[in-house]
Amino acid sequence: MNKAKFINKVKSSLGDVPKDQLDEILADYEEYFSDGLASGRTEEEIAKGLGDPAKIAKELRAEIRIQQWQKKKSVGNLGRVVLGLAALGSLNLFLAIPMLLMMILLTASYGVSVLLILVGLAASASYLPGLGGLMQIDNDKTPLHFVEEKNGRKIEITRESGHGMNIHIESSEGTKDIQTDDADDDDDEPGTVVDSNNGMMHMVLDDLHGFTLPQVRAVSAVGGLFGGAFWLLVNLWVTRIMIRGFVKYARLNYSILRGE
Amino acid sequence: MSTQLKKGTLEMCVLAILDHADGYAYDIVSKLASGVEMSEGTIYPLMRRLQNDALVTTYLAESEQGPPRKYYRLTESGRKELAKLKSGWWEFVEDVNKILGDDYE
Repeated sequence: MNKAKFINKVKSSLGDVPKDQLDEILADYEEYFSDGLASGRTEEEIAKGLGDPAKIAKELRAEIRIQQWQKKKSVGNLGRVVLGLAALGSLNLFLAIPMLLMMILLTASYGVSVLLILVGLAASASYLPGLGGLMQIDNDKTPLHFVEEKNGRKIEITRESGHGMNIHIESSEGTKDIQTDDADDDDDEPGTVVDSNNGMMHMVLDDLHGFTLPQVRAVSAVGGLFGGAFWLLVNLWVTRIMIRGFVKYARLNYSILRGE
Repeated sequence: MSTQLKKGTLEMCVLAILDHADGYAYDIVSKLASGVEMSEGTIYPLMRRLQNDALVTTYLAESEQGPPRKYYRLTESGRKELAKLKSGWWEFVEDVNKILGDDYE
C-alpha cells in the first residue's frame, strides 16, 4: 500500500468526522509519510509500519467522539460515543444489557420527577386568580351547567354558586346522583352518593382524611415542586455518575483493544 | 495494577520522551521504536488522547522539508501525570524484582 492509498483509506473510513478534524488527521499522516521518506524508508514500508488504516480510523473516531462529548455534553454526542465504541467492538452485551436496564429505570425515574413538578405547578397555579380550574379544586363561585349524552347514558353536572357540585347520571341501569362537598366551607356535610335503584348505597367524597382541601392543595404545591425538583437533582446526579463511569469504562475497553 | 500498567506504559514512555524535549510524531515513534515494540499507527490515537486529557499541547513549527510540522509539548498536568506513572512503575518493578530475586532464583 502506498501513501495515497493509505490516506484515502483513512479518509473514507472517517467520512462522518467533522471536516476540520479530518483535515488535521490527514495532515498528520502526510507529515508522517514525508518524515519517513526523509529518513530513507519507502512509502510501502511506512504504510506497513503504520498498520491497518481502517483500524486506526476506528480508534481515532472513538477518541474524537469522546473529545466531542467532553467539549459539549449532549445526548447526541453521547450517542456518538456509544456508536464509535460499538464500531470498535468494545461494547459487549455484558455492558450493554445492564446499561439498557439502568437507562430504562432512569427514564422512569425522570418521569416521576417531572410528574411531581407538574402536580406542584398545577397546584401552585391554582392559587393564581382565574387559573383555579387547573386543579380540580372547586373554589370557584361561578355556576356551572354541563350535560352530555353518550351511548344511551346521560351525564349532567351542575354547580350552583357557593355550593358543591351535583353530578347526575342516567343510564339503562338506573340513575345515580353524586353530590360533592362545597370546597370553601369545610364544615359542610360530606358529599354523598345515593344509588337511586335501592337508595342503600352511600359514598363519601371528601377531603383527604385529616386535611382540608386548602391544606391538600398547599401540600401538593410545595411537596410537588420541591419533591420533584429534589428528585430531578438526584436523577441528574445519578446520570452524571453513570456517564462518567461509562466513559471511563469505555476508554479502558478500547485502550485494551488497542493492544497497549 | 497490571492492566493499568500495560495501558500506561506506552503513554508513560511518550510523556517521558516529551519531558526531555518537544517532539513531532515521527520523532517520538523513532525514539520509542528503539526501546519498545509498538505499532506505529498507534501514535496518533494515543497523542489525541493525551491532548484530550490536556497532558500535551501542540504547535506548528517550520521544518526543512515540506510543510510545517506539528510538535507536541508536555503540559504541567502532563508532567504531574508522568511523575505519578513513574513512581507506580518503579514500585511495580521493585515488587516484581523482590519476588524474582528471593523466591525464584
